[in-house]
Amino acid sequence: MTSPPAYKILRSTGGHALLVALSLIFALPFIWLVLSSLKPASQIFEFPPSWIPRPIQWSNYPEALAFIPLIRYTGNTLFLALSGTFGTVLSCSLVAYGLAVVRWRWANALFFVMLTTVMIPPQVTTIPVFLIFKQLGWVGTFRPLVIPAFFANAFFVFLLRQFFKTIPRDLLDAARIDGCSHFEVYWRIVLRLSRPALVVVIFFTFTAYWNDFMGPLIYLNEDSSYTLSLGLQQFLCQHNAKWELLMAASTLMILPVIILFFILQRSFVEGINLTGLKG
Amino acid sequence: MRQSISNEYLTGLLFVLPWIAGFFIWILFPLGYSVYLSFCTYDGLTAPLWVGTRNYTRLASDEQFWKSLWNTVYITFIGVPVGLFFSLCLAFALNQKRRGISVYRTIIYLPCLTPVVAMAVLWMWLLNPEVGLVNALLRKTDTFVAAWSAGMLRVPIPGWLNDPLFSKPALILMGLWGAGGTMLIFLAALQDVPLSLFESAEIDGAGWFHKQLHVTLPLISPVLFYNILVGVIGGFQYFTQSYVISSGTGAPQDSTLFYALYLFNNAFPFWKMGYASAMAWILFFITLGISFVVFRLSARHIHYQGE
Amino acid sequence: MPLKRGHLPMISASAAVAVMLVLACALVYTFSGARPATAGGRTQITFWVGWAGKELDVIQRFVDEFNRAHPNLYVKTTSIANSYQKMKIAFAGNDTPDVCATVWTHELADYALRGALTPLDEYIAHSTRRPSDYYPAVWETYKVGNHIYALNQTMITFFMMYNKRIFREEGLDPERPPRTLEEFDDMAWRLTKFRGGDSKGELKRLGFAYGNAFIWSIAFGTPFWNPETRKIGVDCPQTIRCLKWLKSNTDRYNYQRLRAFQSAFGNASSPNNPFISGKVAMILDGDWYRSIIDEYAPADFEYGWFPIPAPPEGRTASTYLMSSMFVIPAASRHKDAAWLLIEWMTSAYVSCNVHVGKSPGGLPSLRAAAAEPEYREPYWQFVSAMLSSPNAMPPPKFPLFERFISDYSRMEDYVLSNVKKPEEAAAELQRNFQTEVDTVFASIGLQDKREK
Repeated sequence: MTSPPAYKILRSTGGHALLVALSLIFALPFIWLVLSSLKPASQIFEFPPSWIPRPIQWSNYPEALAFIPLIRYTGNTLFLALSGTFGTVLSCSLVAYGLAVVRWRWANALFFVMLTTVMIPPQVTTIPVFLIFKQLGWVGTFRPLVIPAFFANAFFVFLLRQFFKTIPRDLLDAARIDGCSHFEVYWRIVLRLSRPALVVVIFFTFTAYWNDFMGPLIYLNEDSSYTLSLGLQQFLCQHNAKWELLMAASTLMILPVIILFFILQRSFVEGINLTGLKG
Repeated sequence: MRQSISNEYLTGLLFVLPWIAGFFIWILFPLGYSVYLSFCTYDGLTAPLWVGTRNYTRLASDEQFWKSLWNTVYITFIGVPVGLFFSLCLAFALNQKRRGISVYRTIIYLPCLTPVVAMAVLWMWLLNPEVGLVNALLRKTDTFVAAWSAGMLRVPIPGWLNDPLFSKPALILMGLWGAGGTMLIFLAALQDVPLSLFESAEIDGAGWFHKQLHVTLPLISPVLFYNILVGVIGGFQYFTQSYVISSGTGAPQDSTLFYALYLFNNAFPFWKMGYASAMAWILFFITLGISFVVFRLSARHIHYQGE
Repeated sequence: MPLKRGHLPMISASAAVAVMLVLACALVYTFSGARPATAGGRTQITFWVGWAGKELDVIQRFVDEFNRAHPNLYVKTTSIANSYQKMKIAFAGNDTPDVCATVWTHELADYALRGALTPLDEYIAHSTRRPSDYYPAVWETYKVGNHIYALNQTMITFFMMYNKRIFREEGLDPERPPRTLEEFDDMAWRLTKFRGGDSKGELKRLGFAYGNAFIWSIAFGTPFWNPETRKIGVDCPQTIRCLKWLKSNTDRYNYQRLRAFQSAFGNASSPNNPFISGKVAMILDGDWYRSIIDEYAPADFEYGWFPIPAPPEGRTASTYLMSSMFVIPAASRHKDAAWLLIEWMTSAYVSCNVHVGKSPGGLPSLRAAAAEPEYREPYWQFVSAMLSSPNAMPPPKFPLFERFISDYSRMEDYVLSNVKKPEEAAAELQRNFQTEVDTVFASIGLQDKREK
């Protein structure tokens, strides 16, 4: 089964063509967003829409930046996103290790309880959760938004548990027999071997914090502690919405996340070759 | 080993402690409270008033409740598998060592990052029955097919979001844009598939498709299981898109009134937190039942390297 | 990957985990605390508004003026980003601000009946404000039962507007808008344009986009609510006539085609507004449309206005009132100061200066303010006449109005798409919604008894 070079080239170009076609479809919303952010107000809701801004209005960007205290909002959002991501990754990986690797009787039962907790729609727990934070005196601070991150999120624990379970058991047992403590196995083997999964969790948590609207809306009461997604609402006055500025600000807001994604997913390619470890 | 195994109890507990603590602080009370509320009328302002099982009996005769349940079952059992299959295909397509693959991955993930307000305008336009891009393509196809079949075959030109029959397929179609998230999880799982296994399959002379089916799929089955289960839970809690598209009304003719949307409407705009809590607990048992079935069915097919 | 196999005792490993997590958590806890309030020894009044951006800036100017005038008080404004969900959670958690300007006219009964608001009667009695200062219909919107719970700056009033140029093009007298319902339907049909002139073909322009059964039902005379018997009155000949009239018209245009055409309308707050761009010749909307036209319409855009046409047995010159209002939550900690703020924010001076654009956003609710020179032009005179009309209607004072409106538009959708008969749909709404309302009153009644 050796392929002639010509066939290989054809297959490779065909593959690229397919990927390019897919990318075009998937890039549409983003292209739309960027082009909209350069349109004059009159063109935003034109129907049927036109893609190309006439004229290209670069001034939307400086105007959008001047409209809201961007640095302060970015600072707040970054603080929330970074500490929330850190807490989530740390706590979720620990809990997932306890459920997937450590052999103890309650592991599966606890896992099932944990799964069931995510089946209750969040809408009905909003008020009781609010009551708790009010009792704690945390309403109006960042605490209701970040502290729970340190107490593990069931979805990510589940995800990491599934990944940890794909690691060959013999490998971990061998390490234990060689005298590694569980913490060492967790820290030196499991975390390293699950890098793609951790990257996914880091990325998902970070974006969730970065874009979260409802959480900050409910718990923050001070303009000075607002986040970017709350700040975006400032463009939507009741009778005088600045959609073009909103689009510009949204573009700026998702740029860092796109860059983060681009960087993080590169570590996928470096993938771990298990054969090397086993040998 | 005996020594360390007996110690595992404490170790296991210690590792899981953050979640257990969190469970007692932020989960147990809200859940218990919502059980209690499901037997009360509660508007959020006056104290809850015990009414026994009335919320549950009223639900049984609530036409919108059944409609929303049907819509949700529809989106879960059609939309979720379609989405999963599509994401898996994307993950396979993007799991290669190719020049520029990082760029492709980033682009396919982009719609998951684009704010919903910006997306909504685009959706409405693409699926607009009169001037939308999708229908323009369908009309072209129709002319072509009709000419070719001498008018025997016609392509339907649906009203999409205006038509109760097509509004859910329209939502599923739009949902495919967000396949990047699930794709990413699959992709992460595919990174873990040891090359050595592939190499041995290569020697056996297995074809690409055969290899994926018999080597890759079993290896990523724990993650596939995760995506199925999370997909089902997410399907039952389907909310944001329908909220944006119908601004919360579920129009046309309740065809986009999903369970979580009706629950939200009851909880906040309609001041019926007790009723919403009853809905939440019914949903809980439905999801639990289906998850249990998924568990049972997949138990045989999941291949944990660890066991 | 090289593995170091150093031996750590079990306890210290577990301790390391615990210490790491606790430390990180504590660190975040410290840095995520509250910023100290900067009231500087003054009593801080928290004030939530739904305005944002430029509108918020205008409001803030008047708040600043208030702060300067009251050295012992400091009002802190928070924009709650157009989300009323935050409000409901705050009320449920008993963590409300001292004043909010975010309760809508149709939500007032819900909050007031459940005892979540402070009645303003005492404050008003001790002030210079009198009921006669207001348009009677406006004063009525502030009331639930026998108490006043809210005040506001400007009221949104609903009526018809038409595009004079299109009238002229179609050979109609641009100075003579329709007077009767029949005339209205004829003109709407005449103003409608089809592609290629074929009435089966695609729509190019609509005379009027038929819909909004609720507001039309007001014109048809539906008695929505009887406060004595606490019964809603939707299942009545008036509603059924209204639904049948809407249906006969949408059938004429084909409901699906009408909806498809409407789905291509641009956003109202933009130059692509369908009325401004000439996609529809007549509209039924609020007086706030004036600010849209001023902002987005070309200078030569000619438009006129007329009252909502009614059938012979219906309500002539009817209108519907809507607005967000200023209230003091029952849990407010500084009620007297809160009243001072409301009194100032709803004063004649503030009411006629709150507009963002070059023209006023709405007619002030205080008649003295509405008599200012800038409201002398015909448009505002007409709005004033509508507000004075005996058929100017505030939202009915029953609870669950949002549920009601949602049910009403569902009823409309089902009837117009031929799934349900008008009689059947109206009877169903009456039955279902009455049950809901009865439940609310029953539980409020029980609460009251329990408290006594």
